[in-house]
Amino acid sequence: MKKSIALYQTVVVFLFSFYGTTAMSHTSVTGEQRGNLVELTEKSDVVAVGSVETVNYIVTKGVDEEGEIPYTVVTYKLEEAIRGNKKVGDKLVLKFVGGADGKGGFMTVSGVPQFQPGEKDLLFVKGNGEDERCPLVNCEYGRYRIHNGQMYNTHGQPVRGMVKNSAVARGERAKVFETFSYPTPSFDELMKNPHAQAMLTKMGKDVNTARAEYEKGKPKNLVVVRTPVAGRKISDNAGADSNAKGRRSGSSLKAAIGNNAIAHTDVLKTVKSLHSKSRRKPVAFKDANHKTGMALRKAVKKSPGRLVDKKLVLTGSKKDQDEEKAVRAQDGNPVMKRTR
Amino acid sequence: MKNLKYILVVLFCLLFTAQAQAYSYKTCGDKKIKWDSNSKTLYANTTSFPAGYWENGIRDTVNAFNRNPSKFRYGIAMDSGGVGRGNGQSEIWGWPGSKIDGAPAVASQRWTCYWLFGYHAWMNEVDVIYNYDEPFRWTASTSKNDLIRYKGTKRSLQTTGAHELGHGLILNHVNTEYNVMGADFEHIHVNGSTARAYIGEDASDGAVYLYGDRGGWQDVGVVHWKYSGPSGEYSDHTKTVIYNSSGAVLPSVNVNGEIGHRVTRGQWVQVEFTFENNGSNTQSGVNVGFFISTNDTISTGDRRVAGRTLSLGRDNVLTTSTWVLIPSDLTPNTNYWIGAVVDETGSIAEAVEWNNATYIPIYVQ
Repeated sequence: MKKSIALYQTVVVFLFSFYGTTAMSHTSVTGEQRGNLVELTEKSDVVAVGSVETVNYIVTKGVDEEGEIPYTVVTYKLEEAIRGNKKVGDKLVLKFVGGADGKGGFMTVSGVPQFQPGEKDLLFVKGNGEDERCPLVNCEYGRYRIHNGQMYNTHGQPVRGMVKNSAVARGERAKVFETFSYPTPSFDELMKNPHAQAMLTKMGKDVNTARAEYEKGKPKNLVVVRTPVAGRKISDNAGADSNAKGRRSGSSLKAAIGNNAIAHTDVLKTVKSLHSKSRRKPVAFKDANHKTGMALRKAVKKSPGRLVDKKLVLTGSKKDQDEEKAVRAQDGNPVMKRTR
Repeated sequence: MKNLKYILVVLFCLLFTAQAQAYSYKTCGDKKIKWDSNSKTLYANTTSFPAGYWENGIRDTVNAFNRNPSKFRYGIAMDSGGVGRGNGQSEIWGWPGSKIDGAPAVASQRWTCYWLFGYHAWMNEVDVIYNYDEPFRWTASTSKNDLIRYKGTKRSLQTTGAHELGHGLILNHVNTEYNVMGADFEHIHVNGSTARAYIGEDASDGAVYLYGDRGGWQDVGVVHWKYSGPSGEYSDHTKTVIYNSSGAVLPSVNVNGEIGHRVTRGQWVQVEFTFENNGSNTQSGVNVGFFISTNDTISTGDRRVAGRTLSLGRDNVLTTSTWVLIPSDLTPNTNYWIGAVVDETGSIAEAVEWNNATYIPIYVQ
């Protein structure tokens, strides 16, 4: 088994170097890596199941030209500790870029997960986020969602089977994962927002009256909904995630997965087994500080390197070359103008 | 009774419309999160996009996004000053990969939402940040020979940029349809050696939903890409294919460095293409011609072998197959290209004409 893991690691490194440029927009992860519990477990310093106890938002001044950057500090209470130096009942504190500024402003970054109190997740943790790096292995792909005892992937698609140590997620995103809530700011915090201040002035309300009415009438949370939730249906068995044998679903894969989300315990059983065979000793994990912002790393703007447009060399017969020239002369319009 | 019938018809249409769309956006309370005007200037950093090749590339990216029927338009200005998230300016620049967790690119969105005796929500800022480290090798070229999925190894600045600018409108990822908000590097138009980014039917539909229709912006197109399934919350795409008369995909073969299909002279085949309406209005009776070409540039100057008419609405991307008889007089053991030209008669006054033709390579035996 150790040999096969070593071989797997070699293969992953090879595939990553080959497919790197074909990753989806906000992740370095390719289809072959998604859902692969071997890689997730091996690279993790902590693997644990926990429920989100608190979510706090901290605003830090950015580096150089940056403005204020909100960060999310999420504290889990662990219910299962599979790998690393955490125990059941421990807290696990992680930091992520993005969140609320407490006065009605928000920052979201594509590919960075968001958290709400009460959510239960299986986490593959690497680092704590203090250094601005996403503290999950493969960032959003290092999180599995547990709802009613069933397992869902980071995007809320049901995990419907285990194939060669990969969690195969297929089908529609569960509706429970379409909404996200932020705490509603207090009146005095909201009034630090110049837009809200101006809005109140425009309304002509007295501040004290407005404060009392606001605190009485405000919604408990600001609910953000990904909408519309009903779109075109996708085939239940279609998908590129987690298919250990390749990107497309095949008949063997269809036979190996069921119609519904599997129990989260089925996934945990596999992860525990993989951890027991792991070759890498996890690095000791230290919780993020829930009172401070991130230690932002300076970064210089990068230059893309020198490239120039190559001169187009037309090939083929004279007729073919003339055709391409003619189409180009019409800015790509393929309908040739008739000449007499 | 007449009114009841009318209401039922309207309700049916609304229901049908709701099922057709795939694009997705965000609301906060009862408000859509969107820009409070129909334009936004983006500042592209001159270190990351130096004058010439790269500046042209990022300008081309913004232009590609703007070719849509909505009222919204991004502007672009080059800026030699500093860049940063949360500074009130919407900017585009390149950073080391370690700053964005190794992703090819990210969109950092700043938006406001609060309740003050009613909901108020709008977009404040979007910053598009490219990863300029390995393994990502970018190109701003419109030559397919440079691109992954064709003959090259580089990723298109324009397709990934169009995806990120979609996030700038708060369009979410889509995993149910061929869509620039899915796998962007497999969402591209190619005819001949030219490959161009575009935002496509579904993102256009989303932009119109959020910002309204500018009116009179007509555009139909055809590509050799199609939806193949969800990859997490992204759509995965693959090239369209050619089927035999039984509906089986014909054997693949390398044709000048691209994947094509092996066909036989005199054989009936079904050629598959994806048709889109990226414009303001539904187009009925759109003439589509199918051609055999001796090169990968498809035009109406090639040999026409079939035709059909299509009705193209701006709703669901249409991937469909058409029967074509491979002519018996083609030279055996030779590469050809089967192509489609949508609006082959040039009847529609389109804002974009270059996306009206594409090809599938074939090897004729």
